[in-house]
Amino acid sequence: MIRVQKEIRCLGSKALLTIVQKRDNAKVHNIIEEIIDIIEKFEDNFSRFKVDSELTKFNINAGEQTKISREFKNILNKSIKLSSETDSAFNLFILPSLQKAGYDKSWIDASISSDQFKNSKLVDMNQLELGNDWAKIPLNTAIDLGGIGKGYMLDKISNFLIDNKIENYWISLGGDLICKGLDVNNEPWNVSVADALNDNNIVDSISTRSNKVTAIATSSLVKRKGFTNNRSWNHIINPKTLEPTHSKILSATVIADSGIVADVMAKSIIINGDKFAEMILMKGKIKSFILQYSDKTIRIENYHHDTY
Amino acid sequence: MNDYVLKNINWMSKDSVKLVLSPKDTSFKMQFFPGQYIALGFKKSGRPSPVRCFSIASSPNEIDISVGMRVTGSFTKTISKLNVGDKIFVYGPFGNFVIDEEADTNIIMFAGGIGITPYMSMLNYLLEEGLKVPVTLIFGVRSTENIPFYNELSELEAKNKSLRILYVVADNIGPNLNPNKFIKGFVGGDLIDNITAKNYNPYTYFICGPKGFKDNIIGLLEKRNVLIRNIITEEFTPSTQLNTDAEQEKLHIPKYTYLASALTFGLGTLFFMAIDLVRFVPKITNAQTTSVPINQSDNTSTTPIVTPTTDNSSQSNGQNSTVTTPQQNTTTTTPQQNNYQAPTTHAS
Repeated sequence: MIRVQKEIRCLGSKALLTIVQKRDNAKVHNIIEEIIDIIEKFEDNFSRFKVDSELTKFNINAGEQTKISREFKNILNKSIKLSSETDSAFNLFILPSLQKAGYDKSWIDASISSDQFKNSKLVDMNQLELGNDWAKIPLNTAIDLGGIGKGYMLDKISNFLIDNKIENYWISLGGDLICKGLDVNNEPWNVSVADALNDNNIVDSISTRSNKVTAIATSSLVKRKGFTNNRSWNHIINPKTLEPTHSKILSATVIADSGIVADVMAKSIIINGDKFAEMILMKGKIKSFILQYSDKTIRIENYHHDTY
Repeated sequence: MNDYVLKNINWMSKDSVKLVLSPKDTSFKMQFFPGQYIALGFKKSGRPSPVRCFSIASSPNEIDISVGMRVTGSFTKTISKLNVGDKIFVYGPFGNFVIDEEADTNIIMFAGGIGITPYMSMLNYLLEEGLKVPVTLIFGVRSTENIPFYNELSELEAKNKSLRILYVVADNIGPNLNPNKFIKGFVGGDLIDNITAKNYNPYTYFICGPKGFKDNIIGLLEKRNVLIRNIITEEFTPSTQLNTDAEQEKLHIPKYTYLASALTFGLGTLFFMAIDLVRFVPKITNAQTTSVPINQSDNTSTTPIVTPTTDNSSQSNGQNSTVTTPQQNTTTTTPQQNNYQAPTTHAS
């Protein structure tokens, strides 16, 4: 077995694409190139910092029905569902509050900042209207896919690899990860969980199952924080208080069947707390979670009932 | 856990029953997704029973919850003989056997016997919510005299124009039944080919039934190169004398007591022998550090496991001595050996 790994910069952070195959052949390298294309197309379509992106055009058209692509509709549909499952902790309309709190960098390219929609309103997700091939958001509102983009891309890439009969892989986008199959030693992937306070330390490790897709995402208040206009901020805004979240949880790691669920639920646990984490675990939304506090790290899991 | 009371017992056939449960707190409504299951328990002579899992048959829009079960084991026999008004403990909901309303735009459901139960919840929900997802239900049954939920299914099909139901009957088909709807035999590849017109991948396939039934259909779908992510299954395990408490009830407590005492004595003796051995055998090497994954996946666990994984305050210089990652111990024969970055999740 050989392992092919490629590191690229995308979605505002480091991405690692790793495939394990019996032979190193052109197909593997072509697939990696195709994955890079998929990511770039996504960035072109859904960056709010690109004037001609579908997302920017959609935000500018706020208040009117705007024709949207099938992929955009799919993302919006998933977002509506996740908003309801997270007790509204996940909200695409959070963008203006993020900007007001001081976080005005692009989630795709941190060197770019924008406050184009800073004065937009935060509204409930039920204000997002979806039609057959159109969507509409209220006037003076704007949405951003920063809270869902990485997870969505992980699922998309994972499905692409499975469709191309790639059995063994792990993909990481900015620390969120999806994997399936075995490593070069024919063992299921063992994923380390980094310490929220120091990426070089490991606080836990997760043994995955080879025959299933496993998605793992970590969210933390420790990263991406700052001090602007005499106020401290971090990048996780609570849509109910419109303020940066304060929590005893330093980081939340979620293990789920899909990247989008892991990504959104990890952030939502930071906002809603550990009781919420237990609730979504019992409801079967996620497989397991790991919470790091200042003095301890706990893991709760429920592998009771698996589907195929 | 939530307290419910048994509201109704409805025998659907000679060996399958539907129980309707009402929440004791009438303001409570369980939130669940159609297709999920719950675990039920009750008290018998003041002692709690074991709990068993059953798929929910009712829609999430209803306050009452109904479950369908085949009455074969001790647990199902006992619960089906409880009186209306008796208390039932309900745990859950659990499970991922649910429809993704966005992704599953064309659905084929395979049900084997009482494996129809979770689909009842799904089909009721689809009808109530006015969701026009095309659904074909292929229902494998032993005979036409023994079809659980038959009346409700007929009613659902009449009301939902997007729903089509086919019954695949192992034994003889009763007279006056539509031959286009009741097919004799077992679910085979031809049926799947006909329904999908051999264009398999636009469909999501749900399978729920006994293991043999499930494995057979997965095999048929895999032969047709159906994408694994489009196959969603729930294995329904009928109660047997072995996996219910029937066997346990036959064993007498004193027998266990003697066995436990003997085992304790034996283990104690071994423990002291081992201590003596360690004291008198000279040390050969220093203890080797062994790396053990903190928690192996446990597919059989029925309850969440809480694992205190690390005590951060006890780490010195930020080094963690309990976990070895592949970064530290992987030896590979790949050209990327030196530069390989191991899978790590972290916040960005």
